[in-house]
Amino acid sequence: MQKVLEINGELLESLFENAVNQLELHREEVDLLNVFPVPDGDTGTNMLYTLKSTLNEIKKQKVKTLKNVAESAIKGSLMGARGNSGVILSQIIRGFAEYIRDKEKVDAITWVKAWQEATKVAYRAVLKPTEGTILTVLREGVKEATRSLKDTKDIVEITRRMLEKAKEALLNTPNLLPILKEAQVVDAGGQGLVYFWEGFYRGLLGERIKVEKEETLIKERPELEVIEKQVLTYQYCTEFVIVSQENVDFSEFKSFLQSQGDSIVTAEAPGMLKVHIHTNNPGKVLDKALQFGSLSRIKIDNMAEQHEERIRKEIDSQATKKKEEKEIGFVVVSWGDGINEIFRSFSVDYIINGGQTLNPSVESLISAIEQVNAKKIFLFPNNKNVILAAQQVEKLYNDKVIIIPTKHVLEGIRALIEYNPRDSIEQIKSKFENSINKIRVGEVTKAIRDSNINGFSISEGDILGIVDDKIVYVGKSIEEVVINLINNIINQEKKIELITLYYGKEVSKEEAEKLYNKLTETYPNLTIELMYGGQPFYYYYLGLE
Amino acid sequence: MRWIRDYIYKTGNKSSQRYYTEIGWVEISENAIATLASLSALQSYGIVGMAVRSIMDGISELLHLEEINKGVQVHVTEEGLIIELYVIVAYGVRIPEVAHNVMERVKWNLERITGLSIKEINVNVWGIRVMEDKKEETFNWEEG
Repeated sequence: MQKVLEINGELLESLFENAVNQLELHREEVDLLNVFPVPDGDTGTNMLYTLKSTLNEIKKQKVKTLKNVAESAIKGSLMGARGNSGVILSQIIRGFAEYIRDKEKVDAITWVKAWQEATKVAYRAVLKPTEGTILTVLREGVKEATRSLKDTKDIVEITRRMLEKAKEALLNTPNLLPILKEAQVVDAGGQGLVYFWEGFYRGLLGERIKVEKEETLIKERPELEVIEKQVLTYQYCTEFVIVSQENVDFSEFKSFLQSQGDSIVTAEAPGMLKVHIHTNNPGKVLDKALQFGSLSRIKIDNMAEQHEERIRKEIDSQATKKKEEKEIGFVVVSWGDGINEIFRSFSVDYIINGGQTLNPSVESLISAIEQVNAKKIFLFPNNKNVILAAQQVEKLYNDKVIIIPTKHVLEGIRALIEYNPRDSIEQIKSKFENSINKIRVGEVTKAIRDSNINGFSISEGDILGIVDDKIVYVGKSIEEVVINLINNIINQEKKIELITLYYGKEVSKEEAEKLYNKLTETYPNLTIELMYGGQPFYYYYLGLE
Repeated sequence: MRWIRDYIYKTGNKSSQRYYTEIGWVEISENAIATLASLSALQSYGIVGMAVRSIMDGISELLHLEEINKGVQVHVTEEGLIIELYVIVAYGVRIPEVAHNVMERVKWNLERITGLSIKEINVNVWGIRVMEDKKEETFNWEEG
């Protein structure tokens, strides 16, 4: 029997071609097996579509080096990935091709290693792999290929054993996945993989698998997004099927379609043509179609109407939203445009303008509460000096307002992270309150006059590091102070994992990024995040947790 | 779960999570629905985790298994349930396709298991994760 010890780019291309054809011959069979995860009977079609896209991309390469073929395979499979099994197949191809892309030649060892890599990559994209699927078949086949390396360096033999083992694993899938057993089928994706490998194997033997019928009916899935963004040059979405005699030639009709509109998709089977077109004159298209046979499944939609309807619905739903009383509302005292933006992203209902020197009055708190239509309102004072005023408000609105005594905006942000709309009010309240202790806040600012505080002798212009309203470090440069501030907190709290750095109004993005880079070098074990806070007076706020 | 539908006395609001049957009612909480939805989503290929909703990029966090239903919002409407999923996908997959697969899978599973009708499944891709090769040892290639 013929041996293959090495594979080059050209051979690899022909292997893919064989795999496409082999799968094409068995597409319907694979479709029928499809009961898991969603029984929509399209596994074979999706895998074929993915593989065809892979092959088309490979064919575009003029020079078939290993690198070129591998890179096209990666690109083509990714772009064409369709359906669950198609996405998995694209990952298998990616892992395989990424491994051989930079190799001089593919010998038996590289061949096996590439399939191992394919398996790893395929498994990497899923949290909880279900046993009894394409992944099981892949893994078992590749394990066998690895074992066979001991006995032979012939790629044909290795692939034969890989394929045989894969078939065996495929037959076992109903024992692993009850839903398959119930339906008395093997896994569709696994079967697809077996045909894929069978194409490879027969290609290595020197066979060329042929498909007689060139065009297969692959239904195009309309990409909604694309349709929405389109300007409506053509208003009517028209779909129909022409039923005619076996040997009729539709090519004239297809070229006629080109002159009538866009988004043209046709699918042909002997004596049948399915047409999808966007046109301004459906009548004319149908008229012409009648010359070729009888029409069935005619569907014409006015896309402008659909569009309007969608917009109207959106507006309606927004309007009703406003009227409804919410279960829970949030009011925060905040300052700094960046920090306000973060609060808005948490769907905070009302932001009261506050700050170090601007403490909101009881009145402004009340008017904020009045503007929020919710059964319960959580109020975050975010400042030690506002907590008292807030407690006054809590007394006024007995059952309605709940104060979370946050002393800093960073504590407020930290608390909102814990919000889960399905928790009870009591649970939410206790989660919020507990979260305050999970974070330590540091501040960096500039001294505005000479003074003597906390044992530090401070001159105007010095940079101050503050924790819990106490000055803990005085220095000349911001960087120096930030690092000492972090060290100070780390010394008190052993379990710091995350530092979030909010840069203020007076700091440029570049400066902040420079400091951020410095910090990631200094603390390689910590996760550090940089965000725009936009707070006045303070160069940086630091949240450590 | 077709049998459940057969026993339903239509109660005006057919998408209510509460069904009235001949001998009593069945109620399915939003929490239960959220857990089912996130389990289905997590089994989908390409999805490597659920994420907390409403968070700026910088501080989004991957949820632990026991709190995965945090990454799901359930709205009950007249026409059926609307499910919002907040997910983390693996690096290197085609996101529109993975999202589409998740929608189909979650819809299928929820309808089958709960008997409720689903109006919308919205997938919010909240992050992309490049997974470390923790699983490598589990393959055990038995190389000679």
